[in-house]
Amino acid sequence: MPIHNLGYREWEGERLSGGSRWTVVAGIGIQRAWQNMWLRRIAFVVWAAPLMYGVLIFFGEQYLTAQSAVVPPGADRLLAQLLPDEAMPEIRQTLGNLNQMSPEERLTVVRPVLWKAVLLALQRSQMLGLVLVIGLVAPPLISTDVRSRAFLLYFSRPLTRFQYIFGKFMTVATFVSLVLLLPQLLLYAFAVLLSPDISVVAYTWDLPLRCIVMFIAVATPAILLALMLSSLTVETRFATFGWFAIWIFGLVAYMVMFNTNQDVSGIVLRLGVLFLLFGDVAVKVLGFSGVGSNFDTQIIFVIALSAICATVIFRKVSAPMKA
Amino acid sequence: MTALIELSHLTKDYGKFRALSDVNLTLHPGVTGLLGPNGAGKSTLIKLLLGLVKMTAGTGAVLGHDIVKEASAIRAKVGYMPEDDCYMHGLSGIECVQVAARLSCLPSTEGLRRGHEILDFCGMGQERYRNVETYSTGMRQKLRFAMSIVHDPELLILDEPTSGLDPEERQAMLNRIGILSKKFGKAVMICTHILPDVKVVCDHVAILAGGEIRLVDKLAALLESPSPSVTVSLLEGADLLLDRLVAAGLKTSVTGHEQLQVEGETADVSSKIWEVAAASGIAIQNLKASQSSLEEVFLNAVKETKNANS
Repeated sequence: MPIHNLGYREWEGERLSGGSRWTVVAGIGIQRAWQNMWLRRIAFVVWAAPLMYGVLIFFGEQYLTAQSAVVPPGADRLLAQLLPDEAMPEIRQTLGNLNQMSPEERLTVVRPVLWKAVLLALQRSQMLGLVLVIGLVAPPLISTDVRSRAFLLYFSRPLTRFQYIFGKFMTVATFVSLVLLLPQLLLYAFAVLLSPDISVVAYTWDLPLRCIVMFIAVATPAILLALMLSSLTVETRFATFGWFAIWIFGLVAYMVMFNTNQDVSGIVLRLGVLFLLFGDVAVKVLGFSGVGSNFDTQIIFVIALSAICATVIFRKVSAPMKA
Repeated sequence: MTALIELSHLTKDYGKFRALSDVNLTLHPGVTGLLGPNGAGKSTLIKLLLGLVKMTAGTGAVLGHDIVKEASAIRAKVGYMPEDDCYMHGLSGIECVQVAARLSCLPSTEGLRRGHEILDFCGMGQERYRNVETYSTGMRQKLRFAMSIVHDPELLILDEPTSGLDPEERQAMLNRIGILSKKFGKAVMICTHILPDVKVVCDHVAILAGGEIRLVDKLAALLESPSPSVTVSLLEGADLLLDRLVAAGLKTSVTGHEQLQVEGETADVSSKIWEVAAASGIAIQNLKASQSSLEEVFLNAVKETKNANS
């Protein structure tokens, strides 16, 4: 017997409240996922985009705070390349009225529009990161627990099914926020720091909140969809394939229709292709006018998708207990 | 004596299949062996006790908590070691035990400290730092045992705790169960098919067959022979001694190789047996009061169920 072996001893310490049990599940998931080298690489690379848009905001601030602001030739073409199509009508309208604006109006009117457009552009560029990160993190989360029959180890403790699923959800949400939400909030903070005074917050205070709402509206259904795929199989690779197939096939369908000059504003396409669905939701949450006028339908679809996925996950997680 | 587990008319149906039928069971502190053939309903009974599945009818309480309304409180006080080869993928042994402690609401640092302490108690060395996927069946078995006791539960439910262990480890596992029960007063319920293990550690036995409790009693009472008799073991000369004992008026029969059974109380017949053996020049190797074997008790209880079903 080792000299440090104290044998069995009773434990009489104070136990923590049960509300934090989901953090244990999330902690395991985060620890395991972070061992993936590709995930670490992606988490590093996705920070390149915020840096680029930070430079754009820097020059924008320099321009707006200059004594005489005249729209330089070629600016429209440059902005059209850098910013999403949905933001351009409002940008053009605002810049068109620039000559009639006082320096103060330039800051209070033009700045929020420009920042919103930059945040939307950042969101678009980070969508690839979202797909990759969820594709790496979510598929093994439930499928490996089913395969290794870890359910009995979890649920023989005072852990509820909701806490288990919420812990898994928060595992993915942590990494998604790292590539989607955090860069946006830091970009906003960066933009505030570049501004001449703190009064800019009074005109743009809603932008961080919109970023958070946008994150919730986009990340929640995406994470639940990936977790549902994970709960449907014991083979992680099948869940991974299903996740990427949904995005790739949707994108291919959109590109085929777009390149053959077919109408891409139809509701079926904009609901079925997740890039378009989440893109449209983000556009609306940031306050731009979107491609179609189906925002209500899209929001209902997003909520229904989330509810269906959550129901399936609950049922699949409960199933091994009933066997 | 306060009952640890009290079940009354407990019934569980899976669709049209009745897994448990009108189970009435009261278990008291000590070590109880829950025996039953495959498909008897043992796993279902454990899941019901832990509140993992809902009962169809009946009532029940574990450690004074209702198994329907207070399942979470029960799981906080009970340590469960599953029979299945289950593990937490991607974690090391010590991390698994720490997670088990934290899920039972021990603080993180305390969970780690206690995890090491419990793994020492379970005889796990440096392999605790290895990924659990690389563990042998026996090591996973020990790890699951460690996970079930890390939060210092009042009641331990162990499903096949010694299966997959080599003889030395099996003995060590039974010793650990004995220490927890005798020294620390933990109540233990062991589900097993290995009857010698039951004889070593259990105080009580419950036999479940065909979804019904067939028998609940103290182990010592079960092992008592229905009619008092003495078992005589010899090295040689059983036939000769049989004839001499019968001639001396003792009701004697052969029960095995060089083994006889003499009916009567030990105190009454033993002196006569010694006298007859001495007169016959036969050496007695062993003489003791007869006991029923646990196998016999188990098979009889299960047979009753089969007969009732047929």
